[in-house]
Amino acid sequence: MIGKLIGPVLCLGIWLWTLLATPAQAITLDDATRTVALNDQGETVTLTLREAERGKQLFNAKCGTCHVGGITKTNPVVGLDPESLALATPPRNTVEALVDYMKNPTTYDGLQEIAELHPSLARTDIYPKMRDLTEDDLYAIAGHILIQPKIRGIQWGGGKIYY
Amino acid sequence: MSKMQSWWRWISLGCCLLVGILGFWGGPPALAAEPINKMDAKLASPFGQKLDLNNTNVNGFSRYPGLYPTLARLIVANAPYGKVEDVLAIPNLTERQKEVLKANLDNFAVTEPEVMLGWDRINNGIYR
Repeated sequence: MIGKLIGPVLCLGIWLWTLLATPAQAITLDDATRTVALNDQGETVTLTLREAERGKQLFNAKCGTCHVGGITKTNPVVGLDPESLALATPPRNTVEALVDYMKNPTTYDGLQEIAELHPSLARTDIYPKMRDLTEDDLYAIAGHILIQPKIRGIQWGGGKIYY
Repeated sequence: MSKMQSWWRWISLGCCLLVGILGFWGGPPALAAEPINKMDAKLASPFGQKLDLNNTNVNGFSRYPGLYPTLARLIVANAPYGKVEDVLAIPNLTERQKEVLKANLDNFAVTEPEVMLGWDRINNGIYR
């Protein structure tokens, strides 16, 4: 009797386990993770889950070619990690500063405009893939750049040895 | 045991003792001096703590805001400097660049240009 039942009972148990365990194991971004610095006055903003997802998609599509994993392929000295962003001139470690950069990029010391070298909304004639980006899209991309180090730590901008 | 074998035994024992004594008296003084290579000695100088205008490579200047890459390039190109303040004498600096340099004078140091650094003076090739 027990021998006959043990198979179905095991199957049922495993099925129930997958039913219970899957939602809990899914990675969800909580509010604290989605809260990032808005400007240099210390204000913060919380992205919605949908904005965070859209930011990731857009970042990978528009920026990921050179900035995969938060590094900069064309100059690995300066990445998108929080330290590098904070030491830029002006500091780029807030949503507003990053949105400003995507509209008018400058060198790391802020002395030169590099719209001809770095894709931005300033020169969509030479970087056509930036044409369809709206203000909300820029906000989502900036949010994604600031959320990633909270999730991935040193893996964001740390370079290939941390992949 | 022959007389010959016993003679050799004493000779070899004497040699062992001699080497042991020489090793004992000769050894310790050689170890007493702390071994230090030239690069470690250089790192112990201000080169290891501050931005050394004569030796730090371009990438090193990204440690402080406003210096990388334009001023870093100018500083490296116009080296060597006799003292930290000489960096303000770089030709054709803009007012803003001079301000940034003046604000960072405390972060700068000057040591002898180190030939050993070679191309590391320009770029040490340490990337992420």
